[in-house]
Amino acid sequence: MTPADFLSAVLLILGGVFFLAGTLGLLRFPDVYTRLHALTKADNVGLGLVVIGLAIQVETWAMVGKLLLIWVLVLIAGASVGYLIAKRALQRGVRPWKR
Amino acid sequence: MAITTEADIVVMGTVGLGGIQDAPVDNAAETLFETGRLLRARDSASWLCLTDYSGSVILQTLYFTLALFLLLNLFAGMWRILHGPTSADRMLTAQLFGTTSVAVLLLLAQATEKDALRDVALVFALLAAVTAVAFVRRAWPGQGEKK
Repeated sequence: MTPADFLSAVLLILGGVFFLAGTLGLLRFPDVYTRLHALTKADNVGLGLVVIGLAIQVETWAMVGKLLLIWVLVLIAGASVGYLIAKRALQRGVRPWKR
Repeated sequence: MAITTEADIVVMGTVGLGGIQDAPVDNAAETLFETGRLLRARDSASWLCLTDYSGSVILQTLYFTLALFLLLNLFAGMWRILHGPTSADRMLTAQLFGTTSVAVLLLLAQATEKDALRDVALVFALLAAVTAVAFVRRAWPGQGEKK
C-alpha cells in the first residue's frame, strides 16, 4: 500500500463519516432549517473528501477535473437548495425551532 | 546463491531465458553471482508487485464497502420521507439522494473502472439544483403565488 493509497483511504473513510453525520442530522434534527443545515453542509464536505480521495487514484488530469467539476456542481446545488427551501419555508410560516 | 536442488537449476534456467544470455559464461562463479543478483531483483520486483496489488485490493474493498455504507445511509434517509412532517422535509431526502448517489456512482466508477458512471454522476449533480428550483416554484409555492 503506497502512501497515496493510504491517504485516499483515509480521505474516503473520513468522507463516509461526514455522510453518516449528514444522515443522522436529517433523521434527528427537530425542524426543516436544522435539517437543511445538516444536509447541505455535512454531505457536501463528505462528497468533497470522497472526491479528493478518488482524485488521488485516477489516471489522468482530465478525470481529476471532471471529479472536481462534479463536486462544484453539487456544492452549487446544495447552496441553492439551502437558500430556496429555507426562504420558502419562512414565507409559508414554518416556525424555526426554539428550545 | 548455492545450487542445492534441481529446482534451483530450473529457476536459474528460467531467469537465464529472461536476460542473462549476455552474462559471461566462461566464469562459472560470476554466472552464479549474476544469476543470484537477478533472482534477488526478480524477487524484489514481484514483492513490489504484490504490495501494489494488495494495496489496490484494499482500496477496491474500501470502494465497495463505502458504496454499500452510503446505500444504507440512503435507506435510513427514507425514514424522513415517511415521517415528513412538511413536504420540504421529504424534499430534503431527495437532496440527500442527490449528493449520496453521486458519491456512490463515483466510488463504483473507480472500483469497476467504468468511466461512463462518472458522466452519470455529472448529470445527477447537474439535475440536483434543478430539482430544488422546480420543487420550490411548482410543488411548494409561497403565499403570494398560490395556484
